[in-house]
Amino acid sequence: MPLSSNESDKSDLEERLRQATERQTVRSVHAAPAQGDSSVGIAARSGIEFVAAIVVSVGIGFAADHWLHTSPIGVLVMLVLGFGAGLLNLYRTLNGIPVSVTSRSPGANSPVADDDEING
Amino acid sequence: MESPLAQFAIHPLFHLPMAGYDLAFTNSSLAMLLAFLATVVVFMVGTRKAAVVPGTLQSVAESIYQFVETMVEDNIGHGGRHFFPLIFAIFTMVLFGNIFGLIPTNFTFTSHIVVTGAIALFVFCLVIVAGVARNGLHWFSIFMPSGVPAYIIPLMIPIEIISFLSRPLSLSVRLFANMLAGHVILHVFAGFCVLLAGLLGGFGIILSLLPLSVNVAFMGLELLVACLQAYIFAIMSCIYLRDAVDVHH
Amino acid sequence: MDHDSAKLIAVAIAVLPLLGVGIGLGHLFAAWIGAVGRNPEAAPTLRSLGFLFFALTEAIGLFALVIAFMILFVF
Repeated sequence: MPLSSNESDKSDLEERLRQATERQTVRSVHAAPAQGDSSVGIAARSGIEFVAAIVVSVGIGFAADHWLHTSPIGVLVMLVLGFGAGLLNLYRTLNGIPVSVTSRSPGANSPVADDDEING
Repeated sequence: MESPLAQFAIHPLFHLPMAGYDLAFTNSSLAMLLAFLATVVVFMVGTRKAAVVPGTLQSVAESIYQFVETMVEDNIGHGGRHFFPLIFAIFTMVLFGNIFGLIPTNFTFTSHIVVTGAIALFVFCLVIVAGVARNGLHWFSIFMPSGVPAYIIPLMIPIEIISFLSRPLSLSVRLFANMLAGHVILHVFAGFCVLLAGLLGGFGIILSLLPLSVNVAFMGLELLVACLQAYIFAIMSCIYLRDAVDVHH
Repeated sequence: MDHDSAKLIAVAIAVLPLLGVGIGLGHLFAAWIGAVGRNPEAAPTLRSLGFLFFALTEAIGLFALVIAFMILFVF
């Protein structure tokens, strides 16, 4: 008699385990798009990061030229440096968003959301 | 049709001459005051009767608080507890400003680069001041890139400095451009409705349901953008403030 | 031609690069969808790469916008 009770407990446990796993999977599937959404939101205007660096550096170059009377040199040098800084900004924006917060964005409270995806 | 940019015009509600300047109370100031009062009301009423099982307003207040706390904890680290009130203020101000701006005829103060630029410049200056105050001159080593060959360092230092200087610009322009573009689109589609009804009469009114439905859909999108941009503004401020706290990263 | 109309025409010409940006984004996303369709496992890598090049292409459009605003408000 105890054996059969044990057996039924075990199958009950297995059933509940299966259900829980299913629930988790469903939740993580639901959570994944939310995570994607917020990374889309961060990426949506990341072109600005690139443009801002070039605008700032060309502005500095223009001012330096105006001040030192070295007309095209400052703008040209700063344009190249600004391009590099813009690429650096872009790289940091797209890779530097900490994963832990992105997966804890509103609507995605599930701890099972696979975190590796964004780091990629 | 009125210009779609006319909604961003600032006009004084009453004048306040002070020391030769006119510190007028404008519609922008009114919108800011409204956002501030709404924040205060939500958090005062929400936390007045703190129950174990939170009511509606209490759970709103608690979830905003927890959200910002997690954000600060994860992005600035444990040394960034001092910056929590600032980040919280920035987040709620921008969030309530964005959301209140979506109410028709209401003014959106975050659609002015002067407002977003002021907040971004404040964060930018705070990074420098707090960084130097905490770490001394050692703070300037954040411009020293780690893990690159020695011959490339003279090139990387100016690039890092430009990248650092471009932060307030990208931070402010992102929020300002998103809010401006969203409100211009809403205005243009609302203008289509008026235009169709005015040109074609009764048939035009039926036809104007089309741009109206587009506008309703855009309203939902703008609500998402309003929350998302407030989140991004706050999280970017956190990421920038991390430079003031830990120099080695 | 008076100053204002010349300015407006110049602004209209300055935003013409958006044509190229549109074509570029179309190519980019077509290639991205094609690549993900062929190899779904590579999607995470392809996504961040796609965002990077999307941002670079978008930047061209923003430069056009900056130039247009400069013509409008500076001159």
